[in-house]
Amino acid sequence: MMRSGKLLKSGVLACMAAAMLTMATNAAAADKGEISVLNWWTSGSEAKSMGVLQQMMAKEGYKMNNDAVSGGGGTNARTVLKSRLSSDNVPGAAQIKGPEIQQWCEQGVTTNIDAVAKADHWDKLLAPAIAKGMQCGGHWVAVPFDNHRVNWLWINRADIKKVDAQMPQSWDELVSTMKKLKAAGITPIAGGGDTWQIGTEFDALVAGVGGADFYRKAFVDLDKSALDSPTMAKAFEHLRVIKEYSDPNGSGLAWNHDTGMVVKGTAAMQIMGDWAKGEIANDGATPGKEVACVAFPGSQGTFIYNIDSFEMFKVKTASERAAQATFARTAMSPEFQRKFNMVKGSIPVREGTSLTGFDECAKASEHDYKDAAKKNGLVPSMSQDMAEVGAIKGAIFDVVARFYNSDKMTSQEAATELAKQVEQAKQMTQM
Amino acid sequence: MAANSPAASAGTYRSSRWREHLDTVLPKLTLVPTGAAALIFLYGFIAWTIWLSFTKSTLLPNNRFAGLAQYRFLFKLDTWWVSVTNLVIFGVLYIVICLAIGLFLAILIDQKIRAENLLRTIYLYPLALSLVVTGVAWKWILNPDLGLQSVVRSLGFTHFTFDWLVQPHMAIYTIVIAAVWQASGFVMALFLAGLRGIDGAIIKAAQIDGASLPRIYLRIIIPSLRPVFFSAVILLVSMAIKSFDLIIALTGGGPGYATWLPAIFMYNYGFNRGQIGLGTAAAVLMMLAVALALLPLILSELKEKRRASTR
Repeated sequence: MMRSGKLLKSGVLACMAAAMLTMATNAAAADKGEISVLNWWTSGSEAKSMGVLQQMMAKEGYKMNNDAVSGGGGTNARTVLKSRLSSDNVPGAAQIKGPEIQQWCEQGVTTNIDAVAKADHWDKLLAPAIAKGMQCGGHWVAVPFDNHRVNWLWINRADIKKVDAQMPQSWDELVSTMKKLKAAGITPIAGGGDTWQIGTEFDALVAGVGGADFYRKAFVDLDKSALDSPTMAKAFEHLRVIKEYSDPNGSGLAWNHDTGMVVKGTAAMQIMGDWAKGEIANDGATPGKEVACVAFPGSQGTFIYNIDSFEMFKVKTASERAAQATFARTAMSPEFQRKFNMVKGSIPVREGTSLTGFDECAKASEHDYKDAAKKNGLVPSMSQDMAEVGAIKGAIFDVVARFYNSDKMTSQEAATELAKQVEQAKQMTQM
Repeated sequence: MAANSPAASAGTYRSSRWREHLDTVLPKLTLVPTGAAALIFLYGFIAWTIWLSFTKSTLLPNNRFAGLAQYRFLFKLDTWWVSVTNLVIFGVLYIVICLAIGLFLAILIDQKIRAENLLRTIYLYPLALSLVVTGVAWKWILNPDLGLQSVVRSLGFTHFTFDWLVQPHMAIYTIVIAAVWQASGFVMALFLAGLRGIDGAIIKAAQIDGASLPRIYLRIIIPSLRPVFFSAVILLVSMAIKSFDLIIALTGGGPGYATWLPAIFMYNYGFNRGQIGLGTAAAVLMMLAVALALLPLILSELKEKRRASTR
């Protein structure tokens, strides 16, 4: 009894000391205001970029707490967000993307940054589709950080030269290149590790087969006639071809392992978004040089975008509100957009930001972005949670995974099943 | 000595009464926090989970009543049925193989062999590892390009194929392999303790009666291990139904969703896909499954005990 009593006492003391300590540090740091920023960017370069933002905010007299939660592609951070919301420890901003922005807004827990957005004319700096994604009920509730393109094909130049092939520009050219590579004993495609990677491939294939309008009809509007269509069946058909030429033992391997295979040349190509550039650089190659970046064959006019953003939550004090506004303004500033995106591998989401110093692939991305914007070719990525909420994306992924893993399912059956599962998931979310 | 007044003696009497009283109350008092914690954090949350499974909860829990709608959605999902089928395959194989290997190893070790302590430790060691470590290790061992297959092939057997990990229909068996590797040493320890508890005199008597060794094991020793079987099965059933980290580390639920179990289903829908209502419905069914699997076992064991005590 005595022992446990003593233990209890010292435990309570320790807790109190810890609480007082955090209170003290908070009090010392909160100068003009303070904001807690919940995110899942824990890798070296990403964490460093958040450090840049911290410094820029500190210059203006605000403290930014970088609450990074690792793992699960944001799942863990989301769990933390839920518990913080229910325990009244609301973060000023949290990393949330795609339609989930509107989903959180509908829960009535978010706040708007209209004043900043209007003063800085965000509506003129962002493409209309992207701007709409940051809003909810006509109010700005989120700030975008970057702009990744999903439909890229990364190609080891040496491998292509070895089999005497050209950089593929069309689906047929891609198939003949893959054939040559396979005959030469080089794995044509590194991929198929998990459903997320296959979903990323499927994004590019659907855009390649159907173009931007079809992609939008299928994945944004969830139009039944597009989901269960010969065009969708053809996209599934192409996915099966990609599988035939993929690393047969790739299941369970991470996407960055696959990127490493392309850099080494054991595999020739990977279908992946431009976040692969970080891995390519890590492995000692230069994106655009040893490993070329080409728009996925057939999908040239389409720019499938994946944008990281932070949503604003209802905070209590005026100083926190001020910190929130400063956070949003700083994140959209040309200086931060340049610094951040150079590290992240994406292009600035703020239009008109100078790209001097960016690599070739980023410049190509910017060029294609402008081109696609003119031709209504900008579409949100299904695989990266930009087009649909988790439940519906999950339903699409399930069908894609089932098709990929079963040789018995025909591509037409897959398209029909896709329409059916999406319909069911829609009912589930709209209950 | 007038000091020994009635008042003083009444005082000691009262204090001893008080102490006696305290002695009976104190144990109950010390149990109160644990009891309250169990009530709130176990039964309270079970009740809350059951309630949530009847609501329209999505991203955050809410209290809008949905009737049985979540269960209806659940039964329509292929992912759910794959998870359930996998649990049956995994659960049955895992329990049966663990029991068989555990019992066999225990009998072997019980033959008064040399270096028993060392062997026992070796067999028990896998249990000391985290399931995540087990999963990652087996992931590399079973990977066709890096592990067993490539090693055997490099020895000259170029047609040797062992690629269950990447075959959607076989991947669930790789989980059985890793899980059995982890737990069978533990089951062995349980059985070994049981074997050591058997009265040697009975066995000697049987030997004098001329019973053969296999007969002694089949008719005397194994039947008397009944309580050990009981505890081993209870532990293994709950371990099988809870299985989560091993699968996440070994296959990530893949290829596709070929190795999902209900626990992974629940996590995916509840946390990844923002369908808390559906996730809790799956959790409730998992709890029912545990209850259904274990209740008959517990009841029959209780009956057995009652019969033994009345005899």
